[in-house]
Amino acid sequence: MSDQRWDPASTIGAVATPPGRSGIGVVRLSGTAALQVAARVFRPGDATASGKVPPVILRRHRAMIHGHLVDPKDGAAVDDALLLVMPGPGSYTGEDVVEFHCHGSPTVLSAVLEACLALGVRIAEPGEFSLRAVRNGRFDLTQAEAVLHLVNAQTTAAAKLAVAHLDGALGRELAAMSAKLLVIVAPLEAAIDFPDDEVAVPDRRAIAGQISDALGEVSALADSGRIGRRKVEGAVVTIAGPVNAGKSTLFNALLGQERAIVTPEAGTTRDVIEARLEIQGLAVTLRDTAGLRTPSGLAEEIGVRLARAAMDEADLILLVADASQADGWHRSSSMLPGKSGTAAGDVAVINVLNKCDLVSAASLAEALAQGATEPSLNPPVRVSAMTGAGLAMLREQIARHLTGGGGHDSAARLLTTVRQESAVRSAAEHLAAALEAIERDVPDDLLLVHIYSAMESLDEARGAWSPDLRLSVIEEVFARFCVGK
Amino acid sequence: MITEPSGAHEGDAWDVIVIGAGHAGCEAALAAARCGVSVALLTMSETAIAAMPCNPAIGGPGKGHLVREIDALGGVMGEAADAAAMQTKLLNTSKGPAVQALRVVADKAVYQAFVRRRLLAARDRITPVLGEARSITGVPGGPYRVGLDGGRQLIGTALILATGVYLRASTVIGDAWRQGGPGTEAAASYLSESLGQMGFSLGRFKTGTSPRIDFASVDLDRLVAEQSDDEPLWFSHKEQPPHPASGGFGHSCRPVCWRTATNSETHAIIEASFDRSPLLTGQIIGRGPRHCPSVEDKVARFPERSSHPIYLERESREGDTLYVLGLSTSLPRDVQAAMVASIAGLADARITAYGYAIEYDYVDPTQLHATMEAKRWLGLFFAGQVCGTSGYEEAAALGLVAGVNAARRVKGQPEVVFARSESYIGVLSSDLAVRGVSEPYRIMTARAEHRLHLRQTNADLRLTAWGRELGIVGEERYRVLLDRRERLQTTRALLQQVSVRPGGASAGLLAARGTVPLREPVPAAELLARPEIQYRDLLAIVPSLPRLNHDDQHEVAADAKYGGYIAQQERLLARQRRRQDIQLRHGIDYRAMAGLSESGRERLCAAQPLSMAEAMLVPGISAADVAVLEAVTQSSGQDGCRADGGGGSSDDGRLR
Repeated sequence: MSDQRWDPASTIGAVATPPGRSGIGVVRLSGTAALQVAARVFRPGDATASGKVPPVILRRHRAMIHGHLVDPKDGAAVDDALLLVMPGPGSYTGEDVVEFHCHGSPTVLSAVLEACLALGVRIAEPGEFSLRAVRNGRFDLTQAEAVLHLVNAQTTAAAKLAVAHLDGALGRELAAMSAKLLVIVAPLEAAIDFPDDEVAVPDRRAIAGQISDALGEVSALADSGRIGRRKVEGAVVTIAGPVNAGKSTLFNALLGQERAIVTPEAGTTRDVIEARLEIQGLAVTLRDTAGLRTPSGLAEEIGVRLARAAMDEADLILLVADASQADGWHRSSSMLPGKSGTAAGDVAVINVLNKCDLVSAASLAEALAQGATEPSLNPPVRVSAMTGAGLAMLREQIARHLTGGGGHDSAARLLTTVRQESAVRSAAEHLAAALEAIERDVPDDLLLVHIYSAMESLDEARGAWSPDLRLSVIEEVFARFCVGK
Repeated sequence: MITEPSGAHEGDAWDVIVIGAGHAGCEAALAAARCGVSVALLTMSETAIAAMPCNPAIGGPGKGHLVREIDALGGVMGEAADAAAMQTKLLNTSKGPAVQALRVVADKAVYQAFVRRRLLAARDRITPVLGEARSITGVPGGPYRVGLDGGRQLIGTALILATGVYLRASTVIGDAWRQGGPGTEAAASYLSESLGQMGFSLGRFKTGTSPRIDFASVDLDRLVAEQSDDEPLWFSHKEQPPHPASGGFGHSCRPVCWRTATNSETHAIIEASFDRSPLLTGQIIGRGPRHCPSVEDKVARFPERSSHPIYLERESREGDTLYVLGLSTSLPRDVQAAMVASIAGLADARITAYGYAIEYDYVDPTQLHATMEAKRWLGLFFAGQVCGTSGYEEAAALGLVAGVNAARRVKGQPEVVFARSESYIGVLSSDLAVRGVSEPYRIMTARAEHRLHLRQTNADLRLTAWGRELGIVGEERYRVLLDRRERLQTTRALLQQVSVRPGGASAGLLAARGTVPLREPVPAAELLARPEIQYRDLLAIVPSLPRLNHDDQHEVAADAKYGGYIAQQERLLARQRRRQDIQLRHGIDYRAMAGLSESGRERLCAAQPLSMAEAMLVPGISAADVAVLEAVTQSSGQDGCRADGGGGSSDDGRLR
């Protein structure tokens, strides 16, 4: 391999802090030569001292040492700095790691890095520190993905989730699910390989029950991908409904600023207007759309088409109705994606009954009673975008819908990447096939193929290595059953 | 039959020397002889040849599969077991097409006699030699000199060590320790020293056996006789004549196996003697097989069980001893006597030989390639318990691998590696060589990733044509394969072509089997696909179908019933094979391979895998390392890996 870019034998280095001026800046090295390089470019003590710290000494300590970065060519001091030493294999990457905590001047940082490069260090590729951590067994794949998510986290919810996964919570959850399947497999295998040993094998009904329980958990985990990714990447919420229902007023009210133009005139909004905001820790992209009606003119026709597209793309639709209109409720409900024919799909919808400040309690009750006859409709959230009444409740409802009703309080049970989701989904498919196999009464050796496939998919989700799967089955057989003569 | 080496063999030089004439040694000698080289087969005693020192059974899940594979490659074990069978049983009949397995209770005397005759028939190539090997000297690549007791010396271009449990063996019964192996043979203690000097790392394992009792002293009325299957089955793929066992099979047959069980009194006796058990008190340090626990171990580990099954098996029709299966023990003699007497039917049983444990040296098999050749001593091979296995079948299979490869080494032919995806022999040999062992290794079907493909009923279809190419399968055996292939093909075509109509005989059959009646004519294959319908059922309603033996019926029915599954597995296998069959040359410098993790480098250097499939098994290797290895071999083609040619072998025909 002539391409040395990812060569793990070389010692890599990079400026670990963002580009630009800052209070401090960090240069990080990882690899077998990290300590030697540190000994050459770093001089402990004050500027007058001339001693070096030999690498062998550094190796023994996790330490933070004050001193000076020097140019190895002439010994001139480059910066007053701290040296952080983290010997492998207990470091982030599993290799020897050092960090120079310098003053955050781009000039200083690049000089330090240059000095290291001159001593044989190679510039790290993006993500290479984490790659080494995975390769050296410090992380599973879900943890490496969490590192990326933590670095990119825009909200507290995203950061909290990433930190939990960084700890390996998701990897452990996946391993635990695999272990449950191992419990199903072990008696079947014990009975196959030791047919004289009176191994108690659960009957097929019981096995179907066990598989079906596992399938429930695995499917729920696969489904959590949508919610997990919303926490990490944010969600799209589209405000839709008939003209003049007060959508733009609601948009501005949720945003807390006058972003969309509001007039009493029906059909004011033509374009889709978009803004980012945070709702209970979630990054939300809020979209205001043109009112849905038979368009009068080309511009409005395009606007309505865009509105329907925005409804299709949404994770959640706020379907706004005008409480002051006698038929407002009915008019907005006919615009649900499923009914309007613009989208199939199962996009969540919150019905918002706006302008509640304009109507009497009696007519409000009438509007609600009217809504109750439509079984497909959720009870509406009553707000007044103008006065702000009910908005707190609406925010809460939005967050609840986006995070799956609050049932996902355990971060361990939330997938955050498409890769994880597709592996776990495939595990669920294999388990569904296992249940079908039981229905068709196929014998054990064929049934087991499906269960092993599911276990392999769960392993894949956390980047574990499957060839050892059979060995763990054999261990389980001997641990649990009195087999053999 | 033993020939003393004499002046006629000046220098006593052979192509291949095999030390040990147990199941590994015999199969190795015969395989090498089939390859056309001269073999000296060294044994310490004539009675040890093909002896079964443990229970008189051959086959079972995984093990029966191995026997079928040995037979498909021209080996002797299957035919010998058929000749010696006193009882046959097809196990796991309801657990699926791939895990059904034949097991026979074999007459030990008949078995030994059969193998001896086979050795004798090969006497132009195989020379049996009586003696104890005391030293090995030589250089990597051979020749090797084997010094015998009495100062004689044998010279072999290649050498196969199949010494079983005899390396520095000591037997234990209670507090009585004795240097020496099973029976009365002396321990081959000198060989351990030679191997140590050659740099081999040796470990210590333990195994054990049960007491034998006098058949006449057993109360048969209090035991449950185990019946043979009605339909006699065979290990060998050769044309199958009527079974030689007199009296036929099934319920008319005189039983040779009885069932009883331990009880709470037995367990109380054992528990009271825990402090006298060399195993439980830690005097035995060697690790024993978990698949073959001693009874004191079972009682200690599973205190909630008040009973364990016991089977009494005749060791020979002519002899008068019974093997007490399930009662392996190294407890003192008086305890053995008391626990035997506590078992139903054995109140007055006379013990003719006591159970014992045996500790022995084994060679860590990760020092070997999957060809069973030592990585650092080319031309030196190991097979059987000496490299960490247990079981007659495992030993015989490895003997065959070592015998073939030793002969090919002598003849300058490329080595032969068995793929895991193609045979249990491949699973066994790569598990040993790449993964190593932490207890005496037993084959299990659960170890095979491609279990659905590795059926005992298709061993010949998988291996015989290949064996023919290697020159270890004779014309007759090959002809049997060709006939079978044609028979299966014809039958499958017929099953598709012939249609069965509703009503008449078919309606009666379907009703009798409790499956739904036909509405319209369907191909016979479609009926066979129903779980309730067997091939023999079809014979009554489709007279044009041929009568088939058990294996053929099984293959045809498996096809019809689970064809979809099997085809899916085969597709998966084909994909994986493209990936895993990539060969890795000897002497690749993994230290210089960019992209591997530090631990991956070290482990690959030590393991020296021969293929990608083996590399993936190396303990501690990661998916990332395998990806790197694949990228390197793909980008550089077959020859791109840096090789120093140390192995001196080419890649041709290496993999299967």
